[in-house]
Amino acid sequence: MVTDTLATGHRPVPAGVARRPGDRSRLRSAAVLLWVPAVAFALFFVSANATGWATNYSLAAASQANDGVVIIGPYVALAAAWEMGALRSLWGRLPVRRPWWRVLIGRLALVLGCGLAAMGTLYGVLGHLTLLTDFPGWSLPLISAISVLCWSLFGAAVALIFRPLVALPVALIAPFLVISLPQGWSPLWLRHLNGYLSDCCSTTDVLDSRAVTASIGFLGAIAVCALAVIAVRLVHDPRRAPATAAVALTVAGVAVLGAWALITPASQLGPLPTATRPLAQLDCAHDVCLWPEDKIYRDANQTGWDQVQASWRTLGLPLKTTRIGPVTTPTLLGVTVTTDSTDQVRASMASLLPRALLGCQDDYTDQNRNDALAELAYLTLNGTGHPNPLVTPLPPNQPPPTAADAARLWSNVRACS
Amino acid sequence: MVECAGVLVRLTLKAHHAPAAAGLSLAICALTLLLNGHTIMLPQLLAGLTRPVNIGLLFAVGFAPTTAYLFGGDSLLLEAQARRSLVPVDLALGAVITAPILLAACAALTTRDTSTALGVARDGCAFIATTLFLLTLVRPSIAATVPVLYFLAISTVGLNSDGSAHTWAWLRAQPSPASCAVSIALLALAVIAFHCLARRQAAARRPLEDRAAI
Repeated sequence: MVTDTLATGHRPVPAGVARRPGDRSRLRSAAVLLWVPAVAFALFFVSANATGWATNYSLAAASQANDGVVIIGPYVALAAAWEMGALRSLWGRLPVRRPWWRVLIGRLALVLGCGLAAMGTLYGVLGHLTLLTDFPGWSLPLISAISVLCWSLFGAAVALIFRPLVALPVALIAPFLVISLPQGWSPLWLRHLNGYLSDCCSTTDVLDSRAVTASIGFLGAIAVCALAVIAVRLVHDPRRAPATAAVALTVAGVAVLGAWALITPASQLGPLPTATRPLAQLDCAHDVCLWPEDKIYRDANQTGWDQVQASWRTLGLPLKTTRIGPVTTPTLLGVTVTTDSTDQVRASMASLLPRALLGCQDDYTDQNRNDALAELAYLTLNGTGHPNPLVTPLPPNQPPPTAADAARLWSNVRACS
Repeated sequence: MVECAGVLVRLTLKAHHAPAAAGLSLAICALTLLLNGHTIMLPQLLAGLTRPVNIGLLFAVGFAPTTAYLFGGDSLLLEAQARRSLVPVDLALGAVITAPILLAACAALTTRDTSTALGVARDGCAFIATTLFLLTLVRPSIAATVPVLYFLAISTVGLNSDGSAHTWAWLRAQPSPASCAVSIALLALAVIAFHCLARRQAAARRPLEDRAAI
C-alpha cells in the first residue's frame, strides 16, 4: 500500500493522512460496505425481471444472472473510483517505490474480488447452477468477469482524471447508461456490444459467438483504454512520462482496432444474440430426443408418442420418420413436450404431429388448414384408446369426423409455403 | 453597509464558483428543453416497461454535482468563522442555481407546455434539495453521488405494473402542480437546513476531498 512508504517519506506526514486505528480496515472500503446492498438490488432486479425462458436451461439461467451487470457494473465502478480517489489525493506527494501496476492491483484487488463474488452469487442463487452438472459454458461467465474488470478499471480511470465530486457520479451513471441505452437504439445489433446479453435463451437457442466476441471486444477496449489512462496518470517519474504516454496511446489504439475487428461480424445480428442450438446436444433414446435439461420428461414423451404414433398409423396416415425431438429436421419430428402429464403430452403431440409433417409449425394464418388439422388431432386422440380430457371439442353444429375421413382430411390440407 | 454586503456576496459567489455553476444549471435546463419529449430505454423491470424514463429526469441528475460544487468547497471554512449573517449569501447561491430552472419553466409556459414546465421545476428542485440536505450531513462527493443512486433506483424499479409510480419514486410520476409544490417546499427546507442547523460549520470541519485520509 502507498501508506507503507509514509514512514520513510522525506516530508512530514500531513495530519490528515496519519495512520489511525481502523483506517486501513478492508471492511470500511466502499466495495465491502456496498456489497450487500448492490447484490440485494441486483437479485431483486434480475429475479423480478423474469424473462420467461426455461429456468432449468443453464444458459438461460446464466444469462439472467449476467443481466445483474446492470447493477454490479456501476457498483464496481463506484467502488473503484472511491479507492482511486483516495490515491489521487496523495499521488505525487509521496515517495512510492513500487511500480504503478502493483499500486493499481493493491487498490483494485478488493473491488475486483467483491465484483466477481457478486456476480458469482447471482449465478449461484438465480441459476441454482451446479458447476459439474449445469455449467452454462464459458461465454457468459467470461463476459461477466470481463464486465467487472472493465467497469472497475473505468471507475479507477475516471477517479484519476476528475475530482471525486465529478468522478463518483460519473463512475456510477456512465456504466449504467452504456449498459442500458443501446437496448433502445438502432441498429439493433448495437445492444450486443456491452455485455448485457438479455433475451437469451430458449432451449432451442445458444448464444451466438459473434455477440460474445463483440461484447468481449468492446468491454476489453474500454478496459485497455482505462488502463492506459491509469498508467499515464500514475507514472511517478517525470522523465518516463512521455514514453509511458506514447506506449499507452499505442496500446489503446491497437485495442480499439482489435475491438473493431471483433465487433464487425456482430453487425449481421438481429435483435437477439442467439443462434440455433446444435443438434449434437440432443440426448436421444429409442425414438425420443430431448435436450439434456428436459430428460425428466422422457418417459411421458415416450408413452405419449407410442400411443399417438399407433393411432396415427391406425388412421392409415403416413409417417416420414418415427424419431421425435424438440425441433423439426429431416430426421426428426418436432413434437416433444416439456411436461410429465401424459394427457398433456398426447394432446400436444396429436396437435403438433400433422403440423410437423407439413412444416407448418409457425403458420397459423390459414383458417381452413387450421380447421382440418384440428379435426385430424381430434381423430388421432380418439384413436389412442385412452380418454383424454384435453381434447379440444369441435363446434356443436359440426358432425365429428370418423376414421374414414382421415385420408380425405390429410390429402386436403396444404403444406406451408 | 449595503455596499459592504454587496461586496461580500460578490466575493462569496466567486469563491463558490457561481458562474460555472450557473452555466451548468443553464446547460441542464437548455438540454431538457431542447430534447423535450424524448425518452430513454432503461432496463426497467418488465412490469414497468409501460412507461420509459423521460430524458429530462436524466439531465436533472446533473443538478446534484452542480449543487455540491456550488454550495460546498473551500469557502465554507471561511464562512464558518463569519460573524455577519450569511442569509444573503445563501439566498444568492440558491438564486444562482434555480434561476435557470425558473427561466426554463417560463420558456416552457410561453409555449403552453405546462407539463414540461412543471417537470423541469419539480425534478430540478428535488435533486437540488436532496443534495443540499445531504451536504449538511456528508462530504460533497457523497452528497452528489446519492441522488444518482436514487435515479438508478427509480429508473429501474420505480414503477408499478400498471405504469403508475411508487410513492417513493414520485419523480417518475407525471408532473403535477402538487408534486412541483412539494419539490419547491423541499428546496426551501433544504436551504433553511443548510443555513440554520449549524451544519455548515460541520461541513467546514470535515476534511476536504484533497485531504481525504486513506
